[in-house]
Amino acid sequence: MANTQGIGATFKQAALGAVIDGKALKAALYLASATTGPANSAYTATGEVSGTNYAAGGVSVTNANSAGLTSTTAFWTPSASIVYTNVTLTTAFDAVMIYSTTDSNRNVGVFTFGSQTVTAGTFTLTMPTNDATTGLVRFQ
Amino acid sequence: MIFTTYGYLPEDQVELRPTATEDEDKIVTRTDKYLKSTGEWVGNDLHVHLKKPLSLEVAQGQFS
Repeated sequence: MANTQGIGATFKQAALGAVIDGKALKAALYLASATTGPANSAYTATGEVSGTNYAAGGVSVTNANSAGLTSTTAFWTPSASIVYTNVTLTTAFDAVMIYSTTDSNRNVGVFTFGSQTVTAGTFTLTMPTNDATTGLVRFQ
Repeated sequence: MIFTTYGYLPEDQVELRPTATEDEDKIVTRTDKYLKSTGEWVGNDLHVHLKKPLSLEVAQGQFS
């Protein structure tokens, strides 16, 4: 039996948990023409969508999950779908930023989903299964 | 009740026409809404199921 090198699995879980567990999160939508991405350190209004029934900053994210750990992969996924109700967003958008209002609007991640528009309707972002294989954010 | 460009309308007055597309990153279902009486388009709902996670490979350095 040989020794194995590697970052500790519980270290990964603790690192992910430090920015996720118990935090108040929000989700903002961005125009397809914007340049929002991982380099944004925090939420920005630049390039954010605007339209009927959409408030700047987006909507709250249900965050009942804490960082999980299976084998050596830490993972986390919002615990409910993200829903924008009865909105009209006629300029194409293709990304959502999840950010932590608890931590000065720190950018947790930007996720793209292809160019979309909604008129007088509800936009729902459904989350993948919260596990080490498909969880929305994973430290491997 | 279904929300449309005319506000909320009874379900029996609105025809829903869903179309779905899927790739390795997502499943997108767009549901267009039409007035049954005139065929007028009165909006759309959108449902995106995210499939592709963001992963961070935690790197470990070597002793020099």
